[in-house]
Amino acid sequence: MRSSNSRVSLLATLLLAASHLGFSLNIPPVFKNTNLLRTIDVSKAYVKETIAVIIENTSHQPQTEYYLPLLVSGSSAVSYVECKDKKEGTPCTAEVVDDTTDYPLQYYKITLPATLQPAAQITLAVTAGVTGALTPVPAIIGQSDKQYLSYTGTKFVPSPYFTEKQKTKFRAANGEIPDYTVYEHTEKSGYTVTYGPYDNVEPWGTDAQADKFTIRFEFTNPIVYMEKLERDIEVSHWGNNLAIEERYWMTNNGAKLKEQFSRLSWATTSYYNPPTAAIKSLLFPLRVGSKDAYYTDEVGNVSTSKFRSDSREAILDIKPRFPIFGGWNYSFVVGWNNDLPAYLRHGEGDGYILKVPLLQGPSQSTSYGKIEVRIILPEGATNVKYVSPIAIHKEERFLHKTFMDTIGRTSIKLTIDNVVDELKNRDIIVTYNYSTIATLRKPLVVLASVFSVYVVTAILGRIDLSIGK
Amino acid sequence: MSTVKSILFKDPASTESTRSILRVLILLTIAAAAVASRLFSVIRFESIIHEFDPWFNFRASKYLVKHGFFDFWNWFDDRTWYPLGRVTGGTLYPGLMVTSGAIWHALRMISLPVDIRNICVLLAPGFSGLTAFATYLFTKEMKDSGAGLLAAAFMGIAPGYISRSVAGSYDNEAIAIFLLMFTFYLWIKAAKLGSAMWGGLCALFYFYMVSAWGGYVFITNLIPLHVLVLILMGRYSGRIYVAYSSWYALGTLASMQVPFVGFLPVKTSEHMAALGIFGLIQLVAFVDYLRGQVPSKQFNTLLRALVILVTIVAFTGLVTLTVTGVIAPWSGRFYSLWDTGYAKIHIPIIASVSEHQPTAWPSFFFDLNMLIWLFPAGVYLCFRQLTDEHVFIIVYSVMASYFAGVMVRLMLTLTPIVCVAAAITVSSIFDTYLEIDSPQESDDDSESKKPKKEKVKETGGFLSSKAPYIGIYSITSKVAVVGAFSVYLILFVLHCTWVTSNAYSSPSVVLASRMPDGSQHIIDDFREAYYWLRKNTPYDSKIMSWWDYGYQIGGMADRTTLVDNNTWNNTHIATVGKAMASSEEVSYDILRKHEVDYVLVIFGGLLGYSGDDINKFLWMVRIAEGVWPQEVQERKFFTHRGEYKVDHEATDTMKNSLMYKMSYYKFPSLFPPGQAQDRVRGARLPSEGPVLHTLDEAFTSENWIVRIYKVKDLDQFGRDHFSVSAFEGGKKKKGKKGGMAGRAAGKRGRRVARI
Repeated sequence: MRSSNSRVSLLATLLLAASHLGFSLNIPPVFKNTNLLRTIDVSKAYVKETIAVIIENTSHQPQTEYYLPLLVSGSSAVSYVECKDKKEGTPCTAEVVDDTTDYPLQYYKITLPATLQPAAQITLAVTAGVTGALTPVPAIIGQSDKQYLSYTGTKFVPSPYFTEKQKTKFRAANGEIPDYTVYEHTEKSGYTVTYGPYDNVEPWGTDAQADKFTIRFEFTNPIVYMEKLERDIEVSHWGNNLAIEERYWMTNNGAKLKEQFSRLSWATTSYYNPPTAAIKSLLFPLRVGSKDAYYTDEVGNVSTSKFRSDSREAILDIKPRFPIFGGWNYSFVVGWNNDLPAYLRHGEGDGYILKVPLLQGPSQSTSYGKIEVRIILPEGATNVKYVSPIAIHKEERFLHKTFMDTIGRTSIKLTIDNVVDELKNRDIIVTYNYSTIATLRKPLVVLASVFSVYVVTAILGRIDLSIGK
Repeated sequence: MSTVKSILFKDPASTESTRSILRVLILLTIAAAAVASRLFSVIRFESIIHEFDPWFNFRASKYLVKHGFFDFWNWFDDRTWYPLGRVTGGTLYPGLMVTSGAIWHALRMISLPVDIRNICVLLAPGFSGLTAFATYLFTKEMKDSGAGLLAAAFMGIAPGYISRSVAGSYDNEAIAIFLLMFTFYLWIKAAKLGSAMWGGLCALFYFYMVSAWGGYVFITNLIPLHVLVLILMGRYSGRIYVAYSSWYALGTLASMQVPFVGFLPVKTSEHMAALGIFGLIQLVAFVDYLRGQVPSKQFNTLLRALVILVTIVAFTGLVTLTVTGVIAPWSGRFYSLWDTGYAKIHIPIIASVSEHQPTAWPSFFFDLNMLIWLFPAGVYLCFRQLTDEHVFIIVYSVMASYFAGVMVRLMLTLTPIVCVAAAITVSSIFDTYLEIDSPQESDDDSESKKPKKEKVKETGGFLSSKAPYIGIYSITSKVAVVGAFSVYLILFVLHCTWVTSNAYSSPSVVLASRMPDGSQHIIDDFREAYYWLRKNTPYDSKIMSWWDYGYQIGGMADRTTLVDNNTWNNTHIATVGKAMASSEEVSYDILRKHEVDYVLVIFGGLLGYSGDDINKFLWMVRIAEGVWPQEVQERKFFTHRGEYKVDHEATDTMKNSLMYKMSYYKFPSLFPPGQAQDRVRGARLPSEGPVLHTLDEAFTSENWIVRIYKVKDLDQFGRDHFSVSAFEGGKKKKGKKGGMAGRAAGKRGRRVARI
């Protein structure tokens, strides 16, 4: 009976937790969720789920591994999961379990910060970013219409453990929530819709079909999605400079335009500066001390940018050439320089330690499809190691040849898929060795080549090519 | 004075090395000044390709760099002239692109990966430095290195040349003027020395020139003309024979390797002069040889017979070949050089280009300033010496002056010779007046202070009898003349800088205006719209626009165009003109048949940008009328009083034309009712804007300069778009919309194209 029920629900929705069966992972029911509060925050253009849960070890052995499933239906994907002991603040690791049999559930194995003794309790705070879970409804809107997004989830938090008490809070971008599924214990107040509290929920909740809730809410901001970001961090010891260049391929993932773009109504309404679902400008808060900022695209410089840098802040405010409506694309390049000493320290011997933000980006909420960070170290740097604040999906090492290099600069390329801007402004630490001889390589090479050109010219000038005297 | 002199100029042998170092330094400074004065646009705007044609050259260079030389050579471009395409590799002068491609590769080899765009932008300024150097060499052959340096300085900053070589104006002329001057220098050298090596070098650079610019025909005709004049003056010599024969034989064979030129050098009238002179010089050489072998009496008879025979044979041969069509007759562009009204009547597409118009007088002063009045003096000085190379200057001056008067853009070929002639003048003046030594005043009479003129006359009088030192006696006159010319030279520099900065340094892709607070505001509508096309339309979209914007769309928007600035197919351009000039139902047919997805028009009415499509519209009408005189008539676009109007007085044909509708669509709604104004034409528009049935407005740039329309698909129910919009507008009766709907009803059966 259970299996047919599940099949129906999967076929019918494909969106819901397959919940109580087909469960292939052998998760021992060694925990009990004493109290669970889930917050689904959609004030950004992606879903940020925060789960605060008090767990209790109900087995007789000490336990260290707690499993947490997340719902990744349809086009959505988990960008990151982070976890910590809420009281102590000590972080714990969350690893994805490589098993898709329970689709659309994606399991995460959380290794507790400390071994949990039988009957002991611990409070975990888990944060997860999920992209692609919000769809514009209606999918096409007029140029000055309001944009609404829709989110579908389950009122019970999927869990392989018995839950004594749980509650789900959905936090919208503003108070305008025209549609939401009403169950018992559903309450809307202000920006939030609350499901629960529900007592004594069995593992996997109850009926998956009945668990579903859909909320449609107003979202006045554009949904900034960077299909790809290429970020170059270039260290120059001679120039005492840290150059950063970012190349973006941007799309607005919001509701598409119902008709074609009308400049007339855009021009007439823009005086009132109404909220719009189009991307009008992007604000890049840079590190203090950034300078020489530029903003270009494939056809040259874009003059509509402002850059302000003083002792307190550095802000690059760019305006794309045209407003980017839902489904429209735009690609651009921004870059700036920093003084190197603020980012680089001399370590032992000829060792250096570089500490730079792995990801910066606009202050508007943004999600990224793919990020490629290239860290270009000076020519001749060796023994490169790094510690990344974000899980790296792919790493490549290569030599980048530019500006009169002879062997090329030591470089690493780090690829990260599906990132949300919650992870920005975290520093990556890179250590490398760079000897004095390597420092002198370029001047010597240039000197030698200029000298050889001189010698060759001098010799050629002395050759007499005339035929007869 | 004499001590200073002895310190400065000890003896000729030791000063020579100082002089050559000074020369190198001065030339380097001139080159630097030439480059620097062309960078206004980069500093004010950015490193960007200018105007129209450079965008194609830039695109071709990118193609060359990306796909390599052989692919470039065989490039068939299916993204222009849709659906015909263009055999680009065979219809362009590859010299420019190959040059920048070679520079790109060379820099890459020494690990300097410079963006190809920056190479393209800075190519023209870089070559202007070389042009200055070539001018130096050329003038040095004419007079001396002092004149050479002056000529180089003039050439470096003369606005007539700067107009085509500022940073970003990446056009064939950018390198062609250097090649022109250098080829001429090599020719003079070859003619002077009678050296086959110099002749061969001349041919080599002639080949480079042929590969770079269509203006190579100027060289092809000027050198033979020089030789002809020399022969007629009785100055034939073995040197001329060697130089010309080696240049012509090698140069012609080499030039035929360029696909676009191919067999033209032996087939077209433009090249016949060179061939004819080549034959002539062989005959002259033969006759010269005979003269040494045959007694003079028989020789005269022989010569007469020979001349008559050859003239008859050559002339009949030429006429027969031309009549039978083996030799192509003169091309239209060439005819318009002789008859300035020719193009307007026969080839409107040539006449429609502003740079093909005859030159206005002020532009000579604008582009050449004081050089224009020094120029005749320089030519006169050449007459005084009149060696073989001076004949060249005279021939060049006469030809170039004529052509510059006929066509604005040929000011470019005049500029070098003006610089050279003016430099000869100025340097002669300085030679005379800057001599530190004053002649010893041997005469007792001349002790008293006489006026300068008399003194000069007096010394002139002495010339024949005693041949004394000639010079200027009075320091005052020296100071006055030298001072005056220094002021002129300074004024010239100021003028050149002012002209360059104000007239020639605008990219025209980007417009600049001033904000109320004086800060610069960039109007970037072109790139805004092109970039929108690039990012938000399918890659294979076809864009229809007037041909002016074809290259820019290809370069910036990277989309397929119907017509572009390579105006090789007049009918295709006329088709676009017809689509723009006809009413919607006719145009829609054309648009569907050419699979057009978007139509782009330039509209300056909001901002007062006068180079817009409504102002160019009459040319579209004329060109279309040339092909379809029955369907498009220029007269119908004028009011009965013969005025070209866009306001309520505009004719129905005008108001119903696609161009008018696209330009003014929704425009009046931007203003309060009845206040709509077109700022270019100063016309008050009707408050009811035009209605479009077959097109949707897809994008309009910030200042409405570029407007892009999407061509509607066929209606799903098989209706035509007029009845659809009538139905959606709630009207059941269709025949109620004035003249246009009436015509629509008449043609309804044909209009619904179902392809």
